[in-house]
Amino acid sequence: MHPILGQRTRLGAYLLAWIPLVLFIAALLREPQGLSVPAALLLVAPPTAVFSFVCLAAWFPCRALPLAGRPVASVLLAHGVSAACAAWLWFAVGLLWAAAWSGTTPAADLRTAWVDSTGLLLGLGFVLYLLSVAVHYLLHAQEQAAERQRQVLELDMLAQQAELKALRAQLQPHFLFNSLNSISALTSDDPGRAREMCLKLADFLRASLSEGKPSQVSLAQELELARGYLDLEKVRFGDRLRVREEVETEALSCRVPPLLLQPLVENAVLHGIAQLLEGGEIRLTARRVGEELELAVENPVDAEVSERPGRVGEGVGLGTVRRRLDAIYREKARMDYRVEDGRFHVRLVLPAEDAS
Amino acid sequence: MSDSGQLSLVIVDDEAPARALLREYLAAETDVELVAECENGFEAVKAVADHRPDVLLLDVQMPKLSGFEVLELLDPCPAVIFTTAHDDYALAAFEVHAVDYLLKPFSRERLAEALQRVRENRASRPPLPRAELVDAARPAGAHLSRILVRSGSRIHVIAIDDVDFVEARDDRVRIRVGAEEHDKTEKLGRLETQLDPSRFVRIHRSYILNLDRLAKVELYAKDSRHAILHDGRKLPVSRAGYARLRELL
Repeated sequence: MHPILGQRTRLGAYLLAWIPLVLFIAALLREPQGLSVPAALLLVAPPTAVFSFVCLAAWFPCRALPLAGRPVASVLLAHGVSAACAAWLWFAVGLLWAAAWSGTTPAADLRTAWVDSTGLLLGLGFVLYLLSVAVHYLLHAQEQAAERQRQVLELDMLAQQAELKALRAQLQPHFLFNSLNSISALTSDDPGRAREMCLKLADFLRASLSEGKPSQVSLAQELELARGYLDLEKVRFGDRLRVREEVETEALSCRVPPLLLQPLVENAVLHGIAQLLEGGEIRLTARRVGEELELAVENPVDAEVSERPGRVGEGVGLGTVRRRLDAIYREKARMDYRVEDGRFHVRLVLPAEDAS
Repeated sequence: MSDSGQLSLVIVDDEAPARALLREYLAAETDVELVAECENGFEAVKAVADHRPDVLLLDVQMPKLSGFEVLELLDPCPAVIFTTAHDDYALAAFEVHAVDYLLKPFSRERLAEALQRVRENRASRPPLPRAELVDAARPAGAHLSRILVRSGSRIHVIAIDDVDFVEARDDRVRIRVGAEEHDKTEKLGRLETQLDPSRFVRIHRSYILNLDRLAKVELYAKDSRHAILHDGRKLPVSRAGYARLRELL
């Protein structure tokens, strides 16, 4: 697609830019040749209009000869030759045009005036064409930059979708089977609770497996999912799993990527509660601090782990969360974690955007 | 150990609903006597020592001590039926001669089948090859991160970083952790193969040393060297052991 011909506004601006040029050239020819203003314009405007389109053809050699990685001399030579041709073309068109007016009153003057200015016209044509080459190179570079940015964005989008898909696939099958086992146990003992657990499991699966979900959900929705998961795990772990939520109401409406909290909560159960004989309390906090949303998950860890900081690393779950934050928010979001007083703390800070 | 036709059984599972389900299933088995229910591996080791059951229904993923680690600490070991939601341990279970491997959730019939197998094998069941136990539960290529030692009903979990050196003592090894020492039925050569070779070196026929503890090696006679530890203790270094040390340092 031609960067100027292809866009009406650009073509309009380009042609407008030629109007002062025409006036300027007409002025140059008028004085030494003693032409009247209308005669000079009549002589200059039509061939220059044709020339303005000839200059648009500079696009093709520009595209064929990208500046990067080519000897300067060969590029200069190629454009020099085409500039000379274009200048000659302009001159020839002008000559024919002036000749067409022979016989009418000011005819002799027009042809002589054009021919007498040969050197000036050819020089001007050469320079104008080269100017057009420069403009086309600029436009070409701009277009390429835009294209590259688009590609980067597209790759980002793809990467994000892939991450999300991976997150969904990562759903712990053991969690599922253990939950089914609990349901199986409850069916004879407490059928009401067994049914309740079935429904909760269904809700959780629907939310975590569904494709084509929006790329953002509200924190309230994400918390709902985490609660559903924790409720299911509570059936398995009983008193060993306790949960405390400290969620500010203002934070609930904030937008977050779906399944952002889920891996953190799963980690807290899997690497925290499940490894402890007595279990412990998982703490979920969410608050708005100015323009930022702060989410934190905290769980007790076994002394065998907490006393050796080297044992706590960024596993698959945390790594995925970090990459997703990076992809979506760039440097505007961050994640940190630490072990302190026998508890594992992980904190996410991201821009607080209200769900519309 | 019960005689006659009765089967004494212990349930080990950290999840209450899972234990309840097993209890319910077992109610139909008239010849099975449930002697203990355990919430974790420590309780399991104690219950087996106290009751000497015929059968252990054993979960794999439990806090602190996994099902496989429990087995490592049992002597003698009853017939084992694993109950787990993970299918990744099936091969390991086979290697430790488990009677059966039940994937949660399973049916009453499936459990009955496993128990039937216990009854049939009762006379002919081969003893568990305990030497393979630790290896079986660990992914191939992974090194030991802790050593389990049992003395009476007490279980010590020794982090591998804390071990200063290990000493061969007849058919046992003595593990030195600061001022403490723990004896374990194990061969030094076998233990050596399970440790990270870049951190633990067999410096002598009878010694494996944690490299972090080594201060210097001293020549005290022709071809005879001592390893001096940071706390001043001295260990003999053989010629082959010295070659291995030099390769690493």
